[in-house]
Amino acid sequence: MPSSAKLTTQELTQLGVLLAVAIVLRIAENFFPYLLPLPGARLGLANILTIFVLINYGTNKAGLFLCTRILLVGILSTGLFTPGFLIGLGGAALSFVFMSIAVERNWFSPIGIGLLGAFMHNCGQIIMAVYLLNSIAVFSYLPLLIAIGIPTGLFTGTLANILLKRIKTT
Amino acid sequence: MRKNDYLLFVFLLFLTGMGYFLHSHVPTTDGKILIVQHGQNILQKINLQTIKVPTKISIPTEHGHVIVNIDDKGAYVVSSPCRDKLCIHQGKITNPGQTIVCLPEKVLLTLTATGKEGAPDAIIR
Repeated sequence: MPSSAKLTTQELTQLGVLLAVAIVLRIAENFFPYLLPLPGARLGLANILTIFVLINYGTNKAGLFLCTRILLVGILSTGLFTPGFLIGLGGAALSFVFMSIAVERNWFSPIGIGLLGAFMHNCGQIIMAVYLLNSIAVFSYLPLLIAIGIPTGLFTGTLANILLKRIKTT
Repeated sequence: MRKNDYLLFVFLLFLTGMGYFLHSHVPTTDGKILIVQHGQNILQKINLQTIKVPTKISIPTEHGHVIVNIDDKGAYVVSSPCRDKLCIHQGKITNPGQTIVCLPEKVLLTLTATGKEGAPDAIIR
């Protein structure tokens, strides 16, 4: 990884702790699959950490952070390259691209970033599901997913905002 | 919250509203066809008008069989070997355009209206 060369030991340690929290949150969500009434719908608690790292450490390190989280969660819980893993990957990739652009251009507050992330995650998931199942009928899920993404996006964005105010990284 | 945040929020609400509007305005004709897919293969196309009594169909998958109950109104999944049973919890689909997806088993059930595929929209005399 080219960005890892610029990591200081302090940042590496901080990112390691944040990574552990993100992985735990992501796996903990698996225990409440019926909190939301749709397959693939999650609160997206781990996205709180992605937003936090994205704003505090920049795009490169956040990208590295997210890749590591996805890979480790894949190994630990969902299994690598299962349909569920690939759909989550599609959502994570698209939402990360848009969130990092929005953070670099300073378009939104963390709450808006959370909303955008949830929305783009849903779009990415649907696109990947359409590709995997080879059927555009899956698009009929999108309005419902977007509707669910609004409260969950606001929720994770608000939590990220609180986290950013309380924890100052050096 | 900033002004842009509110704009994004309103935009998403608008998208959701649009989606529901389009969804509820899908033409509902009497004839419905259930398309049963496993992976990328279409296994069966069933015209629900021809189903007089509730029928169970079995779809073989990698881990066992997905059992689907169909009648003249719609279809629902009775049992599935997958872990989370989300397809069962999705309940019954009765309107054209609705789908049931079981991702672990790669099973896709889609309801469409009859005459939509292949048939002309209008005939000029």
